[in-house]
Amino acid sequence: MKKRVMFVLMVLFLFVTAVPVGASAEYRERVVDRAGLLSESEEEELAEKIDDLIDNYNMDIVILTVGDYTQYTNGGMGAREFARSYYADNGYGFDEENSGMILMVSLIGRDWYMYIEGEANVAVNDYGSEYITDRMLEKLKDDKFAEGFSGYLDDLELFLKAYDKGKPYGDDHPVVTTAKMLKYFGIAIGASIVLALIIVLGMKSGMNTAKPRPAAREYVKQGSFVLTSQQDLYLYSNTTKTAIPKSSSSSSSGGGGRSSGSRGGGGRGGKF
Amino acid sequence: MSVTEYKCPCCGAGLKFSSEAQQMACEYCGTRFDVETVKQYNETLQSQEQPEMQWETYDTESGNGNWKEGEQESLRGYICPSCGGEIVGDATTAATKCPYCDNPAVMPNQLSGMFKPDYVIPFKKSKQDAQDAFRQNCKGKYLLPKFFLQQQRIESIQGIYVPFWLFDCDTDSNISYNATKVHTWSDSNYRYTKTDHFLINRAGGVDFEKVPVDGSTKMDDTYMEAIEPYRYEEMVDFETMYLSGYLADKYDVDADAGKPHANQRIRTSVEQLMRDTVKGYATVNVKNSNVRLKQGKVSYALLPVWILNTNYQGKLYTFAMNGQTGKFVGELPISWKRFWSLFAGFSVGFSAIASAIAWFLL
Repeated sequence: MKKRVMFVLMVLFLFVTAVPVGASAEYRERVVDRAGLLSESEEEELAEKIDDLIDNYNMDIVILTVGDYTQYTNGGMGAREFARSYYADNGYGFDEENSGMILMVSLIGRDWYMYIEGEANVAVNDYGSEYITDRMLEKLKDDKFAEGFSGYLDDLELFLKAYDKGKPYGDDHPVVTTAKMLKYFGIAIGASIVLALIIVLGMKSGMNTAKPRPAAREYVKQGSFVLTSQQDLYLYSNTTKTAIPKSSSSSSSGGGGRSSGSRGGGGRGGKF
Repeated sequence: MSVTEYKCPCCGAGLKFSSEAQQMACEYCGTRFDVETVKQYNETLQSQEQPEMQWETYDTESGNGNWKEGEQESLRGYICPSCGGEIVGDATTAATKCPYCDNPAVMPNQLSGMFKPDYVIPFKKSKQDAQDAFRQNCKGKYLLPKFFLQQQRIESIQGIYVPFWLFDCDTDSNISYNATKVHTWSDSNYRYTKTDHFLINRAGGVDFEKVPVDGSTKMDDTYMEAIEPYRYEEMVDFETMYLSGYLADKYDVDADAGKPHANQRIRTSVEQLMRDTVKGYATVNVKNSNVRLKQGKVSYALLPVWILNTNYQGKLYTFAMNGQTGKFVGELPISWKRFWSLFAGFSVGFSAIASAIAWFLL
């Protein structure tokens, strides 16, 4: 009995100590372009951006492209599991929760997965991963990978910044873009002008109280109104149908969706 | 043998009996109907093809009553050389100003062709009441030009008896309406809208008492309708003494000319009354309306009106008050400078508030 407990403790000790030591010791690439989708300068640019984000927000950020992720998994893993294990096995992530995220893009099956670990799930929650990846997927669909990743990092920064300020974006606190802001103010001002116009036109119509009376109901002799017959005859019906517009979400376009994994990680993935 | 052609209630084309469906079918629009429905539909429409709206003639030679001896002699006629308006006053009342166009010179005129009115409603509101009502009407009107009220000679407001034709009648009506009910539902792909069409028919009677139609072209019909209604309980048989101190307008729209207007108002009222009994539909529109008059009778009455016609910056503005009930109507001039500055002010003010709210919400 004692032996078995010792054995388990030994294994746990090795596991706990080995990974963090490796993690802090070596420099890890944050843009891993195995599929060769990016030029050298693009790769550098993205890496610089990521370094800045890591410095400012202390969350790990990895972009990984592969030709076909199934080659690495012996067919047993899905895109999510592959992204998760790549992140874990290579010692990515900061703090005791390994906080950070990895974006995996696999070219052959046009699969993608954004895996999020630890505290990063607070900064980039369901709302965030949907917001960020929806915009990125538009570019990936057109094979504009560098642009897609660059936009992904820009959007990510929005969410990390909000998290850093203590007010992470979410369904109850959505992102406000300039266009959205202009729209809101446009509506506010437009509605104000319409309201002002209604009021002054109301005042104007109040200036003329001489209104004609098309009917003469005041002169109906009281109690003289009698109905001698009434008939409501049904004639025919016609039915029209209009298609209900479909909302274009990533789940319908790529079969993606959020799932929670064994290490408490979140994420989102699908096809592009 | 003549064959009755049944019309499609949907598009108006001819209907044919479809032996497979055992229904009447329209080859043009494809709609199908039960035989019984089509029969009833056509019967309903046929029942409405009858003559309508006949009035007894008003004897314009003598009116309903004749002047008593000496009565007409106590009246004086005047004519306005500017607008041609003819007015009448009793011998004790001198007309000094044309009530229609504000012209200060009116000329004596031979009084002729005026019939004795049947009824009169005496003035109950005084000149002071009319002036107060005018001032009250100008109160709180931000669009009114600043010096409008000061510039008005509201003491020149005049009491005038306006000739009205009063139309009494019983009606027997048959009105049909096109009506619809709308249902909507949806499945995962489509939103469906089903519209059921109905033919509604209402028949019945209603009596009207003394529907007034302005008998003077000089008086704007709109104004005269706007100061309605008069309370007929206080209406009395006409005596020239009621004219004392007031002017009267000599009618220039005879009873026949007033009939179409009375007919229109009666028809609209009947359609509305019947319409009120049609419930539970999304839309109801008059398809056919047949209003038959019974015992249509016309009488002639003088009704009291306080009137002020006034010039402001080259435009004539009219104000009228019901001399019995005190109901005041009129069109006030508008200061466009004030209109636009108020509009700008409200726009800026509301925009500031709305933007502030938007700012906090975002």
